[in-house]
Amino acid sequence: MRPPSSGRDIDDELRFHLEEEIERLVAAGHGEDEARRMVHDEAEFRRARRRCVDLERARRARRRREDVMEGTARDLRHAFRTLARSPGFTLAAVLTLALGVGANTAVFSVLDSVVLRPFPYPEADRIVRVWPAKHFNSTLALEVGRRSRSLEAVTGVSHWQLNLVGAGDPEALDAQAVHAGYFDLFGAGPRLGRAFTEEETLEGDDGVVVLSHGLWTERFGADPDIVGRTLQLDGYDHSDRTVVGVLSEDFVPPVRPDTDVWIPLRTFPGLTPGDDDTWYVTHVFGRLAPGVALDAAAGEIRSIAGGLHAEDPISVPEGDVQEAGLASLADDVVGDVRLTLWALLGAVGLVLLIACANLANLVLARGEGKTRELAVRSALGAHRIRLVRHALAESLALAVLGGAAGLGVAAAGLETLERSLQGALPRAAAVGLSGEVFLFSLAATLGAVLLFGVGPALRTTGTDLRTRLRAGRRGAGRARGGRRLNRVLVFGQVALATVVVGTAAAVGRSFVELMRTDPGFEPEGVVTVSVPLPTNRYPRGEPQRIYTAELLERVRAVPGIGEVGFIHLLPLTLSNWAFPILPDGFEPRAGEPLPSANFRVVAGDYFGALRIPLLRGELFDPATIGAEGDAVAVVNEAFVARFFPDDDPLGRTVRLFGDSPFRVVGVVGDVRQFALDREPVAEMYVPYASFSPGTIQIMARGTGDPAALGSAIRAAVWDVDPEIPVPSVRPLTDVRADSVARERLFTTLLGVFASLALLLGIVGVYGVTAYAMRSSVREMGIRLAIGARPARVLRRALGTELTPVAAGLAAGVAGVLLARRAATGFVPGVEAGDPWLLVAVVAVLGLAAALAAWLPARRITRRLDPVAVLRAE
Amino acid sequence: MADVDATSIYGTLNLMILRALADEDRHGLGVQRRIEAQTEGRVTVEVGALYPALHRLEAEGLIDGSWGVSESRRRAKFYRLTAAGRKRLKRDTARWLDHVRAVARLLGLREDPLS
Repeated sequence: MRPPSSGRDIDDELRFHLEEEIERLVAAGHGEDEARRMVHDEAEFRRARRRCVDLERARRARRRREDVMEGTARDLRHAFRTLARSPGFTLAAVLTLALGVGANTAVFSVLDSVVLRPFPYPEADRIVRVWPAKHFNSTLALEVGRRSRSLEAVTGVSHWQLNLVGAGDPEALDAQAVHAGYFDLFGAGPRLGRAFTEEETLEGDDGVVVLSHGLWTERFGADPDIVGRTLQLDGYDHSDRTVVGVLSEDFVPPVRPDTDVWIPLRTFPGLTPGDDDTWYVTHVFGRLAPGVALDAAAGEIRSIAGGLHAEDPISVPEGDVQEAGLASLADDVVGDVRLTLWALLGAVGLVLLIACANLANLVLARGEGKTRELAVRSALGAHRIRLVRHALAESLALAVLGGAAGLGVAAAGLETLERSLQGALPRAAAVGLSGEVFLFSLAATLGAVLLFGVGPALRTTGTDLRTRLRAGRRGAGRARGGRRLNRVLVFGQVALATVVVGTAAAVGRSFVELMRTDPGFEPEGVVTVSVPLPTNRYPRGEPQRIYTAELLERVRAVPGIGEVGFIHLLPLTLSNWAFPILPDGFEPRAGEPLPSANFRVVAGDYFGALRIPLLRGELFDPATIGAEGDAVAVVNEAFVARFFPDDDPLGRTVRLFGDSPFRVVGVVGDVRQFALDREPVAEMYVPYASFSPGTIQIMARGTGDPAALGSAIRAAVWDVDPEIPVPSVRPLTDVRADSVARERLFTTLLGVFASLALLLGIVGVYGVTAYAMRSSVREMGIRLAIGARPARVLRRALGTELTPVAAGLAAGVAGVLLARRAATGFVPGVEAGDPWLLVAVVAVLGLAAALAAWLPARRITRRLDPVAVLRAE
Repeated sequence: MADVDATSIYGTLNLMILRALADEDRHGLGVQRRIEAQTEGRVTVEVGALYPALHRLEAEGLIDGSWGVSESRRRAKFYRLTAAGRKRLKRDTARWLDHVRAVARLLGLREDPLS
C-alpha cells in the first residue's frame, strides 16, 4: 500500500483540480478572474483539505503502530537467535530468573488462595463470626440472632465426631451440628434432596442428616437413591438419622473443610439460655444486614451481651460482655496468617531482587564485551533508541524463557509443599496456580526485566562515543560509571542476602528452641490411638466405666507394650477443657467469678507412660476405675503454686464447679498441654471412674515399630467392640511435630529462600570481581611493571572490590534487626535474637564473599604478564 | 428527478467513485466529471466530500493513487481501482439493487423500477 500523503501532496492535488477547472472555463470564453470566482468556493476547498489532512494523519499513526509491532517481533527474533549462540549465558540467566520468579510465584499463590481470594460464599465479605471468644449453647446462639437487628441468618456450629456403624466397616465421620440458617448463610445448595429445615432442628424432630458430596461418592458410590435412607450415626443424640440431602460438590465449609455430614444443632423451644446445657457451640456465624457496617453491628452485639448478662449473669458472665463483638470471616479464619504470608512474600521478593542484580551483572558483562560493536554501530548512524531496543529485546526474550520456567518451578514447588500446607494453613486445599497468580508471575518477571535489563542497556549505549571507541582500542572497555554500577549491585546483593540469611537464621534458631522446649513429658516411644466413645452405645456412668476398664486390660496385654494410660484430650493439639474450681481455703474476691483450672480425665498408668514425674503423694489406685470411688484428683506443680503456695496440698479438697469435692492425693510435674509455646498452667487430673468425657486417647509406651504397635492396639480395640471406629493412630512424636506444622513450614521456606539468597549472592560477587579484575588488567600490569609486588597489587585490587561487600554487610545487619521484628509472627521468640548468631551470619557471608572475590583475583594476577599487557597498548 | 448531492444518499458516494474508476484510471476531477456526466448532471459531487472519500478509499486499499501527468500536461494524482476495490464494487452494486427493490416494493410500486 502507498505511504500516506503529506500536506503538500494534498495541496497539489487540490490545486490541480482548481486550475484545470479554471482553464476549462477560460477556454469557454470566461475571463480568468471570473472563472476563478465561479470555481473557487474557498470554504469547500478548505474543508476538503482539512478532512484529507486528518485522514492522512490517522493513517500515519496507525502505520507507526504497525511498524513498532513489526520491529518488536523482529528484535525478539533477533534476540532469541543471539541467545541461542551463547547457551552458557542464557542457561545461567534463565535459571536465575526461573528460581527467583518461581519462588515468588509459589509464595504468591499461597497468599492468593489463603488471604486475597474472597471466600466462595454469597456476600462473603458480609459474613461475620459473632462473639468469637465465647462458647455458646444452642438457645443462646439463637437468642443473640433474635435480638440483633443488624445480623441475618445467625447460625451456631459445633463439631462432632460421629460413628457410622451397621453398614460395612465402622467409620468415624467429621460432623457439624448447625442451625438451619447455615445453608443459606454459606450458600450451601443441595446436589440431591434438600438441606434440613428450621422445624427439623427442634428436639425430637432432628433425626435427619445431610451428606457431603465427598462422603456420598466415596462411601455410598454416589447412590442416586440415598435420600430417604436411614443411617446409624452414633455420637450425638439420635442414632438413626434419615438422609434428606447431599450438598453440592463445590461447597467447602469455612471451618473444618473436611466435614462429612451436617446434622441439626438441637433447639429447645421455651428454654432460656440458662436452662440449655448444650454448651458445645464453638462458632456462631451471621450475615450483616444490608447497609449495616461491621462496627455498628459489633456495637449492637455488645449491648445485647450487656442485656443478656443483666438477665442471667451465669450464662453470660461479666468477662464475656467485655469480649463481645464481631470478626469478619476473613479475620476469623485467616487471621494472623495474613501478616506472616506477606512477610514471606517480602523475603522471597528480596531473593528475586538478588537474582535481578545477578542478571544485571551478567547482562552488563556481556554488554561490555559488545561495547566496541555498539560504538561502531552507533558511529555508523544507528539510533541510540534502536540499540537500547536491541538490548531490551534480549532481556525480554530472557524474561519469556525465565518466566515460563519460573511457572514450572512454582507448580513443582507447590506440589512438593502440598502436604505441609494442608497441616499448616487455613484454606490450604484451594492453593494452586490461577489467573491472578499467572498475572503476578508476569508482573514479577517484567519488573525483573526492568531492573536488570534497562539500566545496563542505557549504560552501554549511553556514554560518549569517542570515549568508548578510544577505550575500546586500549582494551579497557570499562567506563567509570560501569564500575560504580557494579559496586552498587554488589552492595545491594550483599545487603539483601544478609537480611534474608540473618532473618532465616534467627527464625531457624527460634524454631529449634521451640522444638527443644521440654513439654514436661517424653513423647519418644509413645503411640497414641484415639477412640471415640459413642454415648448411645456406652451411656455416661457405669457402661462407660466398664468399657474403659476392659479396654485398658486388653491394650495392656498387647505384646511389646509397656505402660498404658488414657487421657481424654491429646496434648499439644490446642484443645483444652478448663472448669471453674473452688480450692479449699481459697477466698475468691467478692463479685469475681471462681478461678479456673485445666481439667483432664485420665486412667491407667498415664503418668508412667508419658514419664511425667510424681512429685508428692500418690497416683490414683487403678482399682478406682470401675468402682464408684472416692473422688480423688492429682494436681500439677503450677496448681500448687497458685492455690496452695504455703501449705501441703495433699489431702486438701478442690470443689469442681464450686460444688463436687475432689481430694488431692498427689502432685505431678507440669506439662505443656495446649501448645509447646504456652507455659504450663494450673491443672487437675481426675480418673475416668469419676467423670465420663466421651473420648479416650490411648497412650501406650512400647518398643518396636510404632506402626506395628498401632495396628496391634487397633486390633485390641476391635476385640473389645468391633463397632468402634479407630480414626487415628499416631506416634506422640508426630503429634508434637504436627503441633508446630505452621512454624516448621515457614522456617523451612525461609531456609530455602536464605540458601537461594546466599547462593545467588556469592555467584554475584564472584562474577563482578572476576569481571572487575579482567578489566583492570591494564592498571595492574602497569603497577607490576613499575615494580609493585604481586601480592600488594592483589591486596589492593581486592580491597577495592570488598569495600561494597563490607558496606553491604553493615546495611544488611541493620536490615536484619528490622526484619526480626517483622518475623515474630513466624515463630515465637524471634525478636529477642542472638547477637552471636548474627555475628556468625555476617562472618559466613563475609568469608564467602571474600573467597568469591579472591578466587578470580588470584587467578588473574598470577597469569598477569606486564610486558604482554603493555605491548597490547 | 431533482438535482441530488451525492452525499445525501447515504453510502452511495463511495459506490459512485468505485464505479467511475471501473473502466479507467482517473484523477479527482476526472471522477467528479465522470459521475456528473453519467448522471446527466443530476448528481453533483462537492470537492469537500470527494477528496476525503478518495483518501479514505485509498487508506482502505480499495483504490490506489499515484502521481502522473494529465492530458493538460499538469502533474495530477490518478486513482486506480485495486482488485479489492473491484470486488467491493461488485458486492455493493448488488446490495444497492436489493435495497432499491425492497424500498420500491415497500412504497407499493408494482413494477420493478430497475428492469
